[in-house]
Amino acid sequence: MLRADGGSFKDPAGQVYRVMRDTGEASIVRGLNPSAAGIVGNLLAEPFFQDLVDGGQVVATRLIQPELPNARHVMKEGWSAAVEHEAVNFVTWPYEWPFSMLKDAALLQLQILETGARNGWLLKDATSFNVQWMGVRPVFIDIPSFVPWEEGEYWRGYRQFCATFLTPLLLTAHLGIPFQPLLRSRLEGIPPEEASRYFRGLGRFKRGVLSHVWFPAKAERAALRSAGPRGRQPKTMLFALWDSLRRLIVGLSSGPARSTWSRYAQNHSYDAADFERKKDFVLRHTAARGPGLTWDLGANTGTFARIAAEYSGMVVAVDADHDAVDWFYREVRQSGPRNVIPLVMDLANLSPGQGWAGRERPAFDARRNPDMALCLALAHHLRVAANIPLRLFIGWLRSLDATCILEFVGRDDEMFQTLLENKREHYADYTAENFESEVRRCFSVRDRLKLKGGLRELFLLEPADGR
Amino acid sequence: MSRPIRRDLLIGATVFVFVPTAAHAYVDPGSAGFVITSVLGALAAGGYIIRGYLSRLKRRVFHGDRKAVADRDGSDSTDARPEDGSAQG
Repeated sequence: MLRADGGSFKDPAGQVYRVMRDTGEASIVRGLNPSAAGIVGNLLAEPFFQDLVDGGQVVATRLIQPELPNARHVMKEGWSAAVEHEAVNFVTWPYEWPFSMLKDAALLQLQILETGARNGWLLKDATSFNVQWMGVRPVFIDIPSFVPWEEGEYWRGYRQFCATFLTPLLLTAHLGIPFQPLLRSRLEGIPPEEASRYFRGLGRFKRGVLSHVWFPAKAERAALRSAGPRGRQPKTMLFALWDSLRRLIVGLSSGPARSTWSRYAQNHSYDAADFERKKDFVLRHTAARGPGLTWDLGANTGTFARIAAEYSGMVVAVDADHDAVDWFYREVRQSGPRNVIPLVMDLANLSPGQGWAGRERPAFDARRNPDMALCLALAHHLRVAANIPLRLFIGWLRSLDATCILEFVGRDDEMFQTLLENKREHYADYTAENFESEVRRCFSVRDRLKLKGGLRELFLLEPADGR
Repeated sequence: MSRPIRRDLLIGATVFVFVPTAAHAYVDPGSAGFVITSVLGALAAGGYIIRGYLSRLKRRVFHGDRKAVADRDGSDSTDARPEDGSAQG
């Protein structure tokens, strides 16, 4: 079955499809028009391109023989040729990445630009949506973006690069403004005119701001009054610009972690013995199932995501605490495991469907259901801090159709008592009895484990109608 | 000036003042891209070229005597990117 990708329609050169196999997995196939077919065919023969693929910087791509089924399906839609791409385990969007992931994606974009240019190719686009993640490895996916570079041609992707990579990084690095909510609501990125309003007074003299925010904002205002000049640009100017951008971005950081250790202490409200028993529970049940995709919801600094990663194909580790997620990414980037994608997201406000018809950038829980979901020390936060009733949360968990490891934190637990401070609401529905009742409406309880003298309990849950 | 002409002038002035210039809604903000990248590229080029010369000079001075070592190791010292100096914006 052929399904057009909801986000692949802006480039007339081609269209991405998902071709569903009998196994339930999808092949990613791109149809190409005649012009793009010729260009991509030449690109695939270039040694530098194969080096980028072999190095993991660009998604593996191959031309499909026209007589093969995947090509025939796609060419029936009117395309001249078809290529197949290596599938990304779990699609993510730039507004879900922590600072360091956006930074590494930006550096990858610049590296590919420079490598391509040295070999006579340019990337016509420079949006952060052209980068995806294979675990902790960023990979460039928009192959039709490569076009032959005509000597003297200027870099048209500069504005897009700034709007979707550099400006968000500058806002966080210099002003401490999280870029994720801004990018979530502006899929085209943050334009220079808007960005310049954040950098007032001496702020515009922070590194990179005068060059890449203030000056472009002024230039664009001037361009509205008269058509911009055109001409040729020497290659050296482009390499110099990319080099300066690279050195600027390398030097940016999101600042010292403000919350990591406090959250670490929060995780460790267990004594050593109980913490080991909790880890063992997760390990045993993950190892027994070997899930292809595991979600760790409320992953914090990734203690349990690491355990799950040993027995899962891929782990998506989600937490609302940016500093914890960014720290975790930097740790796994350096020392593994590499099959983890750390994301920043408020679990009470998951990424929605966005873009054209709400389907261009699918919602977080509409991309690919997990085989297993870890919800450790999460439910009480959603109930108290976000006012999500237990029934709604557990009902949503059930909709994932996944095996779940769910932790109940009792009312007498000190962390629950901390959440209740300064709250007038008593959350009368949040009791052990009601919790189990709601769980049993949707799931079968396969295993359970009391911890902290009964103050907490872990549940292993299977969807009630079986899988 | 006749009344019809004054009326036409008043209508025209009102439109000119209160109706946004149609061109603004149609001008691609990226149309300033050539100017922006030219200016920024020119500013960056000076330092880039100097760092490139220094990088090649450094390789010649410090690695030229160790060519035998490089040959033995099979290392490739032909990275064309200028080495990072002090960070610049």
